[in-house]
Amino acid sequence: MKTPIIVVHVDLAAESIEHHYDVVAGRVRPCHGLRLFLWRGELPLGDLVLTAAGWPVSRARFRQLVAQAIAPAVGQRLFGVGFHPAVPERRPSLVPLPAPPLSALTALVNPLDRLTDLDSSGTNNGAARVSLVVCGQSRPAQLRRALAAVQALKPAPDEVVLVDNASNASKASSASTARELVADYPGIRYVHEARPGLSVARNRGLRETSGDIIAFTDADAEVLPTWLGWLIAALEAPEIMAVTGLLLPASLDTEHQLVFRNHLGGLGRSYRSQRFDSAFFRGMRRYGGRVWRIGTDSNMAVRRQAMELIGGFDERLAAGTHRPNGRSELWSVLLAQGWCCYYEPAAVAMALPSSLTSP
Amino acid sequence: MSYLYADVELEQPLPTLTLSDVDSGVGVIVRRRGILLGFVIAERAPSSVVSAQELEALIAASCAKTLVQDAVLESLGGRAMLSEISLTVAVCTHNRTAGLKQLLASLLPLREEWPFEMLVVDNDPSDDTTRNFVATLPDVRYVREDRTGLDFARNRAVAEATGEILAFLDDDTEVDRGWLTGLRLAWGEHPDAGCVTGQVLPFELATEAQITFERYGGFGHGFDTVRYVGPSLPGNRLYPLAAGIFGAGCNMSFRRDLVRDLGGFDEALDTGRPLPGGGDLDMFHRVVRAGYPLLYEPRYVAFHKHRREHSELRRQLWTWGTGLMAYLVKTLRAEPSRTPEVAWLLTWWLRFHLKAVARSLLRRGPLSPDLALAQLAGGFVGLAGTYGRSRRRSAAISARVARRTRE
Repeated sequence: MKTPIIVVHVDLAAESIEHHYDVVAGRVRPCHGLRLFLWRGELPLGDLVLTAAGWPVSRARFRQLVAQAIAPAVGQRLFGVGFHPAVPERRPSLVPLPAPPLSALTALVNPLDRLTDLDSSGTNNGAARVSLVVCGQSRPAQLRRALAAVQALKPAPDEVVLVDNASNASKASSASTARELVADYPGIRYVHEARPGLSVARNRGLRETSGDIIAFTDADAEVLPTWLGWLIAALEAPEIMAVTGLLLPASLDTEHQLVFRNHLGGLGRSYRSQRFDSAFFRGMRRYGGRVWRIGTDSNMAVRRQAMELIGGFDERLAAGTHRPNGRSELWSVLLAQGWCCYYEPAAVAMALPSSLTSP
Repeated sequence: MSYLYADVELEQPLPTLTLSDVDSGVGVIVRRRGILLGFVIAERAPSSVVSAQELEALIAASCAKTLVQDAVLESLGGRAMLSEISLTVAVCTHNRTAGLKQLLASLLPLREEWPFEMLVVDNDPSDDTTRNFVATLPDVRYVREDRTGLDFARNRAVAEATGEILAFLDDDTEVDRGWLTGLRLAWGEHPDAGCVTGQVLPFELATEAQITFERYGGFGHGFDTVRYVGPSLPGNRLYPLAAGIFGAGCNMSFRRDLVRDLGGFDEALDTGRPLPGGGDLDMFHRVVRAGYPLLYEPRYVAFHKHRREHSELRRQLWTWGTGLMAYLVKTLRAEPSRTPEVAWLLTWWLRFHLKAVARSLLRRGPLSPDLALAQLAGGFVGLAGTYGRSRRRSAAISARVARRTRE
């Protein structure tokens, strides 16, 4: 049996590292692992697993572990080149990869403070109309948090639709609850979809909205205020058809319920952005495509054009059916046609625990 | 065939490297404010020139992560204070006074930074050269160990050392000027550790055999500090049995009392010609199994003089095979319940080396067929009763020396 993992979020900008060490020291319990998510403000930079067996470590070692965990993402945010994630299937290249200038690297002081300069480009230039579709079912407490987070988005989407596909009779009451609940959130439209399945719900969302860009989040996840800005920024390159973000467990929760939903699983979660093109697709074909690396459809934005190209989400393949892998289909089709996808971990959605109760 | 070797400091303008007509590449030790930051190795045509800009790009590509990591760590508060350990440095040597001389020339000046006890264990010497040399040095202890075998000598060092921490260096290494700082940082940050291993870089890449060995991986363990603790390591099924990941015996240090409590090094391993190897792996493994953290510290650096001749390299790879297998056989004897683990490691090892042989036959990869086969063959020999024979042999050596002493 796996040990339960307790989640702790660590904001390196908010408190000193010594304070975080004391917090972590107070949370270590026998028989538990501790997963630390390391942030600088709203920017996720890395994670770290501490086990009771490996504890205690000295304060100096704690600082070093944090530095080791976040350095690749910090480097990529600051320099762009030289810090791209390795593709595990390929042997490391002997040809030196492009790197930032050595003088810039040696001049680096207080790198974490320099990250503040690059908050999400954050602005929707107004060129594209952006729709937001919230799908899936959730408990009222989760839904409230999800909708409140949507309302706090900056920039805000041009329209928001909640597609509720609570399908059968037993859930009819939950549907009416959701409908009433949405009424408290002005600007969010409620749509009921009778057929089950997330792909069905997403297709319904596509039909109900008119944006050039459609962002998707789930009804049991809380997006960060900068979430939409990062997704839109990634779509500024015309060849990028879809962009996915990072899904993290919110708090105080065991992480296991997320393992399935998270594209990379617990260990390989990446905090570095990555571009996936047809060359990636061709290169990975002999390993079975590996398109699931691109990300999760619980947290993404696509161009309407892309959905027209591929004819919507395949309703045979999605969560709620017996083949829950709609997104891999989507990525494969896009890449095979020569388009690109992008992974932007700064676009964070936090999965809310199902145990969440109303305040 | 040789590589041009350079030692560059990032705070100063980088040099232009001009290869001679026999050089086929460059090896560059990179430092910043004297502290070792990286090691760059690149193939180049003979008589070509590596300009300062080109060198800068090579260094940037290989050290970018370390530089950013150092900057992040600095902003979080940096590394710990140096520990004020009482330290004994032991060199076990056997008829290699010239090597010992060079090592001590690099090591003894570090005593100005922090004092330590220096101990030379002369293992069954054929003459008095080493004794006479050590006698000329101030504050260096000389101990003669008559029982032939590296682990007899190491255990003698454990018995003789007065320091709380005991560091071992082989007589075919020289230390980096940051060696002692790295060692003290590691022990300062991990006061609970049982063992700290250091980085081992090539001292030179002057012959084809040395380049082949380094291309094959050398002793490289990377530029990140790693702390191993506990019975498992996610993503590594061979842990902690595949003890090669922990470090190398030519640059390692222990809490002296722990080594003594664990019963010392296994004297049937590392017995010179018949079974030269495995004692370091066995000790790393026992330290981790006993529940103590084991540290790998990249800034605790020694430079190893790789074997210069092809035949010596072949012999070294052969001994890696025998040493590993003898260590596995020993582990299995001590803990029969770990058969599945050992079987898994054997399977992995066999597959890995069969592949290496296949690659070498196709002229891919760094090893020539005879080198790849040597390690595989060494492994089989190691499995075929070598450990048992070695135990009887080392018992006989002990008995003979004891008898001679009585007489």
